[in-house]
Amino acid sequence: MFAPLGAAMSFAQRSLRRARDPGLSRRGAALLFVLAALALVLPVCLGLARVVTDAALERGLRRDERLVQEFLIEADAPIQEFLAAEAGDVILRPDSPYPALLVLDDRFEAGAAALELRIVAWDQCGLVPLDVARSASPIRLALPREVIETLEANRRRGELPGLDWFAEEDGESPFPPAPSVQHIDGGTRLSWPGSAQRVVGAWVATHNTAKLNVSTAPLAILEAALRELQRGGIDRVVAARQKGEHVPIPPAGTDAPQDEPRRIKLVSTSDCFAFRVDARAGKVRRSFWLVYQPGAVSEADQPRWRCVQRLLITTG
Amino acid sequence: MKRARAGFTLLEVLLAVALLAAVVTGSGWWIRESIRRARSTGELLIREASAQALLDAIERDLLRGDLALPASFGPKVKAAAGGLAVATRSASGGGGAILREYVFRPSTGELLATERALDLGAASGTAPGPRVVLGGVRWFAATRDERTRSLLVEIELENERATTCSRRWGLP
Repeated sequence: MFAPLGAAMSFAQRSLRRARDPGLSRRGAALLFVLAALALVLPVCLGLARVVTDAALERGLRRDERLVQEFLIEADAPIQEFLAAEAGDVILRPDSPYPALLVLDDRFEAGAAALELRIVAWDQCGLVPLDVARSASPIRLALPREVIETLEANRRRGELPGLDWFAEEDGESPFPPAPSVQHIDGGTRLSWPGSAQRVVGAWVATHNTAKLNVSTAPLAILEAALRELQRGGIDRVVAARQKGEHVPIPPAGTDAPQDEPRRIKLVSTSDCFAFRVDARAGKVRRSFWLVYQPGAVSEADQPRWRCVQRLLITTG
Repeated sequence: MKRARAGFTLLEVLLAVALLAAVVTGSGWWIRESIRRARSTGELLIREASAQALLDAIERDLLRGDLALPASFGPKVKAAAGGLAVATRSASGGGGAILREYVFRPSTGELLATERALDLGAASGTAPGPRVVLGGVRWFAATRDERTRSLLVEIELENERATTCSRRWGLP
């Protein structure tokens, strides 16, 4: 029972004897001095290291931010190329859920930063015009319930429409989400997240007043439009789109009233495209929504497209 | 033989105390001056960072928005010696098109920002009053160069070194 107490006493006595030894006490003092110096120097070194790391991180973020801004400016070139070469001939498969196609999906390294640029085109004439979506048109009934609810909740009108009229709800952006891209047999396939179904920008066009492109519109929307216009011919449209051939505009039926003003006009080429641009440089990622419309006619009698609206996508 | 006494004479003690007092006073002054300079440099750095953040915000205003405005809305960018107006889109959801104006108030050295709905058709409530976005400004100027189609914004801060932050952008 007293054995531990005895051991402790003898340890204390040994320690006292050592402390009286002048050599040992000098070494102890030196050790204390070194410990104190370490206690002072270490926090200073750590603080300095933190300051240097923070400064480097800030410099890196600023550089990446600048790169992303440059990306956005540079994105105009592939977009203009797409608009000049392909925009007039876009034919989407009939099972395409949205009138969207991939323009560019590029990844490369620049120094230490990994850079990514993805551009997805959204045919505004393949979507339901905003005025039609807000009216009592049968086309409105083809829209998902969530989209109709968003339209009801945001009744803002004006001469400068934009998807930013529709406030974010429950963290969900009104802009169409970025798809995941699969490269299969030299082609690309876009897979859409489930949230796209609820997003107003994936169904409603802000910069198309009254057109519906039979080559790109989702079939449900097209069927509703044909019903409203009292036209048939959906089978021929599906067959042509399946083969990737020119899609004929279904003619008006003989019993359709001719004098009634129509809210929507069927077309086979589009004159308004929106682009979702996702750019990433290192740790900085930015997404933009760009709307393009034909501007003045160039010397080669080709419409020169111009960016008419640029919005920052903050979520999604 | 008489053994020498250990210790200091009175003169030595007085000299040591005087020296110590001088060292303490000198060190105190030096530390106080260093802190004052560090504070002044720190404040300047913070104000420079604020000015740069404001230039970043103007850059974002220029970058986004409606780039083909109808003639009735005027140009996207209007620049003057003491002010700048940019037609842009609101950063908050549901905001839509807005005109953001930056105005310099020389009497207080403040730069104020106001924003109002640009879209006349939009339902407009009471516009929020101007808010201070940068203080301690000696001079603010925005110059639009039609030849190079660029906009230059310069902000001179109030300090001994008259620090100037400026940036130039190409106009859309």
